[in-house]
Amino acid sequence: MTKHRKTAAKSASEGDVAGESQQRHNRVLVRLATGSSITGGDFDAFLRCLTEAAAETLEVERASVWLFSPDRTRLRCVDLFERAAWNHSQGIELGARDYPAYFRALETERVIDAQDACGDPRTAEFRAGYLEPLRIVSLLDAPVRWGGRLAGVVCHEQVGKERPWTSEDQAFAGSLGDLVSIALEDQQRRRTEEALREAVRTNRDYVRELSNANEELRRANEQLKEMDRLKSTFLAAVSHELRTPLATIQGAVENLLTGMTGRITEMQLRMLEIISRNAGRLNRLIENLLEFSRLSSGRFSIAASHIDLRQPVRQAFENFRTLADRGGLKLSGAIPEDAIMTMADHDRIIQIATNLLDNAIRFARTAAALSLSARDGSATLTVEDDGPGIDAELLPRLFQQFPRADIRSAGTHLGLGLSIVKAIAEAHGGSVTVASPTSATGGTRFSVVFPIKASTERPAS
Amino acid sequence: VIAPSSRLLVVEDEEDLLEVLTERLEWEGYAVEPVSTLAAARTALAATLPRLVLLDLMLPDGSGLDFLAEMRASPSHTNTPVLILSGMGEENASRHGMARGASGWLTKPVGGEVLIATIEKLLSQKTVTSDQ
Repeated sequence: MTKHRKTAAKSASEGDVAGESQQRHNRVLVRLATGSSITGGDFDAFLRCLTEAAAETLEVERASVWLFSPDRTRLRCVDLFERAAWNHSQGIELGARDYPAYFRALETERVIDAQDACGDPRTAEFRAGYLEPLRIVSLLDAPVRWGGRLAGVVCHEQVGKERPWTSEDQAFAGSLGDLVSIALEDQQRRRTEEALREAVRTNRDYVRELSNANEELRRANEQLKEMDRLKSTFLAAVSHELRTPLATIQGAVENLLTGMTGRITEMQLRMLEIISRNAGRLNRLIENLLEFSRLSSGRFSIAASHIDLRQPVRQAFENFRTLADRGGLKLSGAIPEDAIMTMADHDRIIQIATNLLDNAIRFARTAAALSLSARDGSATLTVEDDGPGIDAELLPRLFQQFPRADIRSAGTHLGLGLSIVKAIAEAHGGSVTVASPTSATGGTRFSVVFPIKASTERPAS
Repeated sequence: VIAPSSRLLVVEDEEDLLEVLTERLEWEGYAVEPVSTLAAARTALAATLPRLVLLDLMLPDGSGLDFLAEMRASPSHTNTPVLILSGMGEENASRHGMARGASGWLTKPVGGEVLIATIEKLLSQKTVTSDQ
């Protein structure tokens, strides 16, 4: 800094003041404009450099930068450099409305060059409150324009002796105002970039959280699936385990009924039939449980082959005929004389007929009837009974997989069995419907319609 | 050379069911050799050629399917009819048993009449096959 002053003094003595000072001003401006602080991100450091350079270069006691508050009602000193004390300070504020002439001038002029600050109409407003207390005599103020309007001002304040401002001084002050604009622009750009980076960071965090939540959901879903699979496996295992003792009971009863152990009395026969009938029902329940576990685990599929539909239907019917006879029910069957050849799963057709007959016999008052017919490319299996019928409000939910509490009065077996009938029928491309009541006294009729499908098997060799 | 037998070899580890099956089959006129382990079944096979084997799958000393595979690998028992009687359902039948040489498959519980009819059918098929 001392060197600068010596150079200035030397230039003045050689009489080439204007050219020499302009060169000096330009060097200072270039240094400020290319220094790291203007775009280095430290706005305050840049302001300190600028005010020091301004005071040193123009050899004034005070140089300062002022910026508008966000609401533009106040002008705040963001850096004041006092050369004698070599001191920086900030924070003084001025009410913008208190100095209308000054701000009007800033709006319109490149610089305010007030040699007699107290007398100059543009700066006289500061006389009593500012200039005189601080013994400021001359002012050289350059507006800082940014974003298309006045953003602040760079001030040079001469203390003690009045001073005329050369055109070089004025150009230098105006350029300082421009440099502050550039620094403001840079600061704004940095803030925007930081905000963007923050937004990106936030977004990334959000994406990460979402992805974590997603992963947790996926895991929970896996666990649910696993639990569901375990449930199905358990159901299947239990059902399989039940089969052997059931087979033993049925076999033992059958052995007795064959008479191989000797004559049995009428009473013994009735008791054995009760055992047999209930073992049969237990068996159908197990079949339905197994089927249900397949359905609920998604392992349900049918193994269709080219069969005569009458055969499995007849088999199911025969199983129930003796049962109905013993219970005093009239069970009639109408199965056509001609074969009904179609692609179907033999065991699953038995299951459909069995489930429907099981219901019919349990709810029938005096009679149940099965009929099978074929017409127009489809086969229809109908099972009906003369029981009390089904409440109208229950009908829509009859085929749901899980029996509702209100269907329980009709037996949980009903819901399970019918949902299986529906699943099997649909797996065959067919459908099941129910009509109830069918007469004034009640009655229920289930109809399963299967499309008749030509063989897709290769002809047997 | 293993001597041919008129007996049915029944392999079932549930003693109650084994008794029920044996009583029924004997009453129907078959000679029955009841065993409840694979070890006993192997001993019986080493001594005689049964007309048919009624085979449970889950046995205390192994799987009936392995036993079936052993039989099919042995020249003496390649053609012996094997009827599987299992608590496992039909979907497993085609996947395991049938592909590995079972002659028939019944799922427990099975009615006596169906059991007898199936055995009769397999025995008659065996006769036809032998004649050919």
